[in-house]
Amino acid sequence: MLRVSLARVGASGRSFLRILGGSSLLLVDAFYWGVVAPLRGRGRPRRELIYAQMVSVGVRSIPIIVLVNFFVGMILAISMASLLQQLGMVSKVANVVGVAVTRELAPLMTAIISSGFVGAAMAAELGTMTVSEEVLALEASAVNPIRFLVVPRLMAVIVMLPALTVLANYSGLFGGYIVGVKLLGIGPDRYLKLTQQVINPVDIGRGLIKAVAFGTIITLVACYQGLSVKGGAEGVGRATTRSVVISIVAIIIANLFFTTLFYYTMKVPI
Amino acid sequence: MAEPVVVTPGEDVVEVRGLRKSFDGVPVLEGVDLSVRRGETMAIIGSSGCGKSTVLRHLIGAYRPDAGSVWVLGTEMASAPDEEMDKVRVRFGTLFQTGALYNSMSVGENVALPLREHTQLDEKIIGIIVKMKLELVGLRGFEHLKPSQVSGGMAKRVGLARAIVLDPEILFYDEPTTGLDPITAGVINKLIMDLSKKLGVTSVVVTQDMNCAFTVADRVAMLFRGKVQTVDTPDAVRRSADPVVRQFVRGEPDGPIPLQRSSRDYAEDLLGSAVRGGGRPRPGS
Repeated sequence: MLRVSLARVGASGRSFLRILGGSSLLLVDAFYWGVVAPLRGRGRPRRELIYAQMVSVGVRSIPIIVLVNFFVGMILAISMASLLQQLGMVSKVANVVGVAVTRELAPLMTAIISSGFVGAAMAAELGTMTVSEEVLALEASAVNPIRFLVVPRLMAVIVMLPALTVLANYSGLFGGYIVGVKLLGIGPDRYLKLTQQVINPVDIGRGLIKAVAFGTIITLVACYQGLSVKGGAEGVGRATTRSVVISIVAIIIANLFFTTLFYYTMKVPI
Repeated sequence: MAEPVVVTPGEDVVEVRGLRKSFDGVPVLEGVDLSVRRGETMAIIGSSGCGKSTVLRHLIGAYRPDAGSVWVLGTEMASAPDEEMDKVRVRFGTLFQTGALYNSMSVGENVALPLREHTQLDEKIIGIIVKMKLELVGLRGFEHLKPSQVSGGMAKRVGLARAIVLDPEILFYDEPTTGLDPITAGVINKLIMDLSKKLGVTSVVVTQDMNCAFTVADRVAMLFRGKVQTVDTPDAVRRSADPVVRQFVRGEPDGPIPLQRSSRDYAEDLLGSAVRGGGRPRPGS
């Protein structure tokens, strides 16, 4: 039994690596078609395609990103409150929320929501296009599917995910503010001042760098899954699920990597 | 290595030699030889699953052959780098089985896409060309509909308009009439003939619809067991004495073309599963 389950873990680990490998190759192709080819005058990405993707990636995600991060900020403040009350420094809630939201939670929550909201939609759309021969039709008419489908999506996400993360920062901080002021009785001016003191532009910048990386992961995994769909509607469903699961795992791992990297290279005192 | 084929008018624009292809170890094409002359309409017929569409996908450069060569308009599609292949691809058009319209774009945008991608034409001129091509397939005025709003037959006609928008030298059709009502199928057949006469394009029509093949084709090639069984004029194919061709053309249930695809013995299969208690079929059996 144990051996069977170990083998299964090994197999899913291998397929995880294979998908990450495939997505990385896709990154090379996307870089060629997004950056190298336009410089050499071999067809530049069409602007209206990028704008359309920016609307569907960014604008439509705003309500859910704001809502979730607002609640995450509240949860964080409430869960820290009792501990900090015991230590007699309840006003430090502002510091905790400020640091945790800008450094970790806003980029991470935004990316995880987007992998479900944006990544799943991409995998399903490209998967359906693959199954219904649309991708083949693009190829047959000498339109490179990576240039036409992947590059606009990647560009849109690279612009929009940091923008959404900025919004998430505000929402999370506002959630903490509501709890701190209304529930814990910290004065509004004091809370804002503490928040201003603790928030560092470097932290925000690090969060935005992460957002770019997470967005790249979400898009590449979703597009790779979508473009390699086999086997009709069932395959599309499988690709969609897998794209969400794999991008969440990859995002968490990347987050650990970035946090460690920033800890050693860009130390910021609390 | 074969020498590059120099294409001159009246000569072969499509040349397939010894084409072999397997999928997951199952051979589908086992040495296909075929040539299509400039200006003619060639129909490729054969029972479903015999590899007709696989041949077509090699012609448009979607598959790389395991062995053999595929020449289209003087370019060897098997070994050509992507850039070379794309230069050939803008010179032919393809109509896919379901039309393969891009779902997120309107009918007009679908037809306009090759123009926007491969020409520097003004939007105004693109609009005029799109109208002209849609007029040819009888769908002018439907530019603003989405693919999900048109019927299967209309989707195929839009797909055809898109395939001819760059005035191709060759048109590839994958099952152009399959799944259509007889009248729509007749309309499509007439369109194929009109395009070949009016525009002088070479056509390769993959179909299992005998009516379509015999109506539109100058020559018919029949695929059987991964090879070309016969290539001849529709009349000759219709009168063929070859039992394989005869069975297929007449649609007879009995003959050399097997319906059975099971490799295991029937009795053993039944008894074996009875012994095991009639379990579920095992994958791969």
